Amino acid sequence: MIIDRKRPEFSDVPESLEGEVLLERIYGPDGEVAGFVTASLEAVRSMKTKSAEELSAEGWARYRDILDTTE
Amino acid sequence: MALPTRNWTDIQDGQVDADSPLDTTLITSIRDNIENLKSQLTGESGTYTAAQEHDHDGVNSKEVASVADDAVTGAKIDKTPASTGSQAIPNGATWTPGAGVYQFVESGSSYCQFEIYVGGSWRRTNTPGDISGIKYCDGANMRVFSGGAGGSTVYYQTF
Repeated sequence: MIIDRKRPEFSDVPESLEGEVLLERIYGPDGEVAGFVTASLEAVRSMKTKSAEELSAEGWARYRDILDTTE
Repeated sequence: MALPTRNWTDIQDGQVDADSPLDTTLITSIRDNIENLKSQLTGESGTYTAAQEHDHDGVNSKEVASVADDAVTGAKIDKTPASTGSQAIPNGATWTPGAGVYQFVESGSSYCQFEIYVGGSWRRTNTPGDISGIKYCDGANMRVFSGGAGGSTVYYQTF
C-alpha cells in the first residue's frame, strides 16, 4: 500500500517515506515499531513483471500479496 | 536558590523521652526544622504550588550542568549491545531502521548502500556493499537500500 501520511494507518511513518510502498513494519523487542521496509512504486512495478522464482530469488516472495494489490 | 531561613537543629533523644518537657527549645527546634525543609523544597517562592519547584535551573535549586560538548568519551559509552538482529531487504527495497546507533555487517551476497534524506530526496552512497561499520540512524532520514540481485541481509548490533 502506498504510504499516505494523511491516512491514520500511516501516521507512524516518517515523512521521508511518503509516496513509497510500505512492505513491512519492523517491531522491536518491546513490541513498538522500530523500522520500516519500503520500496519505490517503480521497484514494485518492476517486480510485478517477474516470475515467482525470480521474486523468491530477489527476496520478494513474502511480499507477493503487496505486489498483487499495488497498481 | 534562597538559603534556608532557619537552621536545622538535631533533636536529641533526651529531649523527647517521657520525662522531657515540651519547652520552647524543643518546639522551636521542631518549627525551625520544618521551616528549613520548606525552604529546601520551595526555593525562593517560599510557597507550595501545584507546580514542581525544583527544575535545577540555578534559580529555584542548584543548577545541574548539561553534558558539555566533547565530554562523552569512549570509556563512558556502554559497549554492550542493546540488541542484535538481522534484517532481510528485498532487491530494490529499503530498510529504515528505528532510531539508534547501529553496527552493520552485510552478508556475502548483499550489495547495500546507505541513504540519507536531504533536501527532500534520498541521497545514496555510490559504492554498493559499503554499509558495514557504525551508522547513526534517526528512524526517519537514514536507511539502507538493497541493490543485491538476490536481496540483502544486514546483521546489526545496536548501542
